[in-house]
Amino acid sequence: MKPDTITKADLITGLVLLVFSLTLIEEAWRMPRLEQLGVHPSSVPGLVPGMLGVILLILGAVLTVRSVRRGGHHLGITRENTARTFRQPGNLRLIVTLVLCIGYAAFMIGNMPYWLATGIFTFLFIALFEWNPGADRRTRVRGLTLAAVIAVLVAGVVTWVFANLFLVTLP
Amino acid sequence: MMKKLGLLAALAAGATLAIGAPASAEWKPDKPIRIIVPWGAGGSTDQAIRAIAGDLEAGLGQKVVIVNQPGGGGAIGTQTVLDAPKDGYTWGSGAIHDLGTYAVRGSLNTQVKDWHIYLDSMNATVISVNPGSAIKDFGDFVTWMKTKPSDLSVAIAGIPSAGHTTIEAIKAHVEGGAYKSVAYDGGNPAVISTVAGETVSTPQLLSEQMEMIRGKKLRPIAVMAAEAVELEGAGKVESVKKWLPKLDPTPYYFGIWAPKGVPADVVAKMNDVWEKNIKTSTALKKWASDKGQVVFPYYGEDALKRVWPAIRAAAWGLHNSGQAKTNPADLGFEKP
Amino acid sequence: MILLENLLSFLTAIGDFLTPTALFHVAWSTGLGIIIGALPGLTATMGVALMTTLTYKLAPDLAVLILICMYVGAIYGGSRTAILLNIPGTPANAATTLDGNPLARQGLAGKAMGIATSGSVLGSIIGMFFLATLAPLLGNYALKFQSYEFFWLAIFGIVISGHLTALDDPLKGWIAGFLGLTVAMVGQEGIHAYQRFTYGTTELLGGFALIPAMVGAFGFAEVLTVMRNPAAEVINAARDSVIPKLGEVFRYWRTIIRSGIIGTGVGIIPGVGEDIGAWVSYAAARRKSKERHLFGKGSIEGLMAAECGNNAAVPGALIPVLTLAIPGSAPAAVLLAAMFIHGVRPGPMIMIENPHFVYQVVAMVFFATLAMLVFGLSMTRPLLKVLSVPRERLMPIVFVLCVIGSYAIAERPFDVGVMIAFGIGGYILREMKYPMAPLVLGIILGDILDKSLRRGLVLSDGDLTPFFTRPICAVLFLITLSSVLMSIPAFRRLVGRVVGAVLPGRASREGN
Repeated sequence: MKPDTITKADLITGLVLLVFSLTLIEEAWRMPRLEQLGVHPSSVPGLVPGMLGVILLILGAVLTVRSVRRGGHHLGITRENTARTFRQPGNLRLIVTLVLCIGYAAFMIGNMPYWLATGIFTFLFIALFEWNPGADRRTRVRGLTLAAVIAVLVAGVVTWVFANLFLVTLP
Repeated sequence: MMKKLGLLAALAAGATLAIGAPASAEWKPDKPIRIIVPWGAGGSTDQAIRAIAGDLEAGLGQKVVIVNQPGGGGAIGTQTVLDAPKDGYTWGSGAIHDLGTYAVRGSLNTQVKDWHIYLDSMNATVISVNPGSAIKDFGDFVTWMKTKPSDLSVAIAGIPSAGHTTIEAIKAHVEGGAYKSVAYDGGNPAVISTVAGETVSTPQLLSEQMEMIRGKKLRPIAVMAAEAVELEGAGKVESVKKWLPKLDPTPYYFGIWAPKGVPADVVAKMNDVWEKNIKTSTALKKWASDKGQVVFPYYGEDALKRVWPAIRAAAWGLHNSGQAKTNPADLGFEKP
Repeated sequence: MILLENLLSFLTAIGDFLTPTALFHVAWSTGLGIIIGALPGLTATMGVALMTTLTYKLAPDLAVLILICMYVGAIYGGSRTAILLNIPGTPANAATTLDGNPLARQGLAGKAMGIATSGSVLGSIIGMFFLATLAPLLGNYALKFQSYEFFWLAIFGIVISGHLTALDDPLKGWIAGFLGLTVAMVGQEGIHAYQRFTYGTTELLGGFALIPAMVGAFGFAEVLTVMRNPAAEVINAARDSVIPKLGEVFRYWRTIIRSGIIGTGVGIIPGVGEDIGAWVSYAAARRKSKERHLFGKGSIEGLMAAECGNNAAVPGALIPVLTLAIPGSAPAAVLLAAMFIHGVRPGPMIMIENPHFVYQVVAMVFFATLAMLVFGLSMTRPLLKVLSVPRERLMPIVFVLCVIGSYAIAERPFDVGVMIAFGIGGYILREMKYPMAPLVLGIILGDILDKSLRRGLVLSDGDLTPFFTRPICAVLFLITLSSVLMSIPAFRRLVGRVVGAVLPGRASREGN
């Protein structure tokens, strides 16, 4: 991120921290004091979470004030800026990576055999990122074959090592 | 389809009966058995289970995999066992008073009667003090509980823990007695704090204190057992009963268990393994004598009958110290 | 006399690992460590975290041996990337790029790699010497650390680590550190068994496990970073020899010893690791150097200082791990967690319960250093090949390992979710320039902080005085306080003015 983008991000982080730390303090305050157990009043469960809440509140406030002083409150969120951010190749790659990874870890695993999920994920990842629409057919076929070979190898080796060598009950 | 299979099975059973072979279908596990240890590696439960892993493998003819799932006072790992298919491939473990009091503590809705239990060892807790302490014997300890409880810091491994149950049981028998409870991250850190002099005493398991007692860094003043015990390399330790005759000392029992509902052949096989492999295990015996443990190879109803007083005492101990979420009487624990 | 005893124990420990199995593990794990360190985006922390998940079924001594070899190898391996690609393979090698890459551009890549290798090996040896001599000494002293001291140690660690890992913006280091401490508050607390922030779920009772969180924050987050950034190119290959000339190395013996000591010292500070070790050594070498004008343009001395400093920090970071169970750096934090997973309990009692283990760890560092030297001088070509593997093929494999690795230790699907969450959170924080080391340290120290404070207050009956009057406490408190105060500009100006009033000669310099 560029310095001025970070200053803007700092403002948002600062505000999030303020809300978060206030919630933390409130939750800590509501934690039981366990008087009926006769416990020592300074050993109550809420003590340290409350203390951390106060510290984070101070740090969040400093961050917010500093960001505003540096002009971070001119967020400049416009439709064009947002669209441009999403069209940057780096951000596109980031979004595709996120979708693939979360789809694999959260949805594919558990709903199909582990080896199959792993194979599909690896293949899709390599095939999508190495896809070159400009290349001729032979290059593309070769790329896809290579992706498939790596996928089969990864799925096979990882599954075998964890199931048979480490005796892990796979998800 | 089901009917057909049933018929086939009946035929097969008839056939084996005719030949006069023993048990019709012995359970032969075809993949590794998981034992979930709901505590960290190297702790009391972990050690007690690893001590029999080799003999279990020999008896079952399958690999035994020990998985540590610490957290929540044993509740997380035990929840995993409850969630797993009831096919005999996933076992729980721990100290029996933990299993018996999840419901009382309100962390899990399960009771010891819902499980097939297989125990391998027991261990007593010992009340020890820092060697530099003015407390010379357990009589002094009782006096301190009555006269200067704010100076009597007691290091325990948190709640629940063997140490906590022990000191609460003692407190219940010392009229007007109190102490300063100091919780640590586990048995070892609690014991270390007494060695280092941060706390005056610790009532943790003997196995956790053994090395320190042998090295004269702790002075044992009483053992939570009906009789005095002779410690190898550390001399005789009196029973708490010498000072508190009405106290019924209960030891800690460790073992593995599977939820009721696992197939009958699994239970039959494990009973067999316990008779043939665990009762005669030399590895278990050696580990026990090293660590100040006692081999306790009982299972099923027999085991439950033997350990019930300890579970009951733990449940009511939690209630008396205010830590119970459910009244033990509502869960079928008769009042002692 | 004591040194001789140390030496004997060390030699016995060396003997423990002179078996074919152990040597085999040393060879592959150091080699793999070098590769992981060399691959941009794969860090030492991630290597050690992933390797923990892959070795937890091995015997404890072998598993710890593999992890230490991985750690040492990765910190060294990053120097290759720094020299050849001008990007640090691990954060520890950032200072290496300053002089390593200019040398490579002058056609002296081989020489640069040779100097980096000798610097790393010598730094590692100096660190090892202090590990072998200081750890046993501190181990005996560590029993003085009680609840009051551990409370300050936790605060001190977070504040200093937050300050030093984000030198230009300590505020962010502290936010990261205190967020880490807050993360550690989730779960059933150990004093009254109250369930904090669990909202009725059994899964959260035990809080967030460190290893899945680390695999996420260092593994998954790196996958995201690498995929987002444009691909890097290997700019040139070595044509000259990688075998360094001994005379060229030992000309800089002052720099080597100074950097080794600085690196070790920085490593000992909780949560401040190899990267800072390298930067501080580099800065010190530059200040003292006769060839200051060459720094940043291909100075051999600068390269030597950076690589010496980061590798010396590795054994340094192990000293508090062994004696106090407090990690000296992020990879050491994972190593500490791995030791607990294997039932090895480092901490104040180690010199009483298991003194041999301390020397075994020294021996492990020794073997790792040896393997590093051998591979460093021989593995030039294979490493170039590895560096040219496209990230599109490498990253899916890394992520597959992140998933299965975080699942395998406890076989809980929940831990995969923890890995994902910390990966995304870690990525966002890193993009906004929050350092990761204090966050990690916070997750580890949170429990210690919580229990030590409340336990201390119970022991003192609510009295705060022991937290300030005990000698170690007072020292830790004063350092922490001054670290915070000195980062406030107004206070710094005030100090400058006071100093100016007392020492008028210095006032003009302070004023600039």
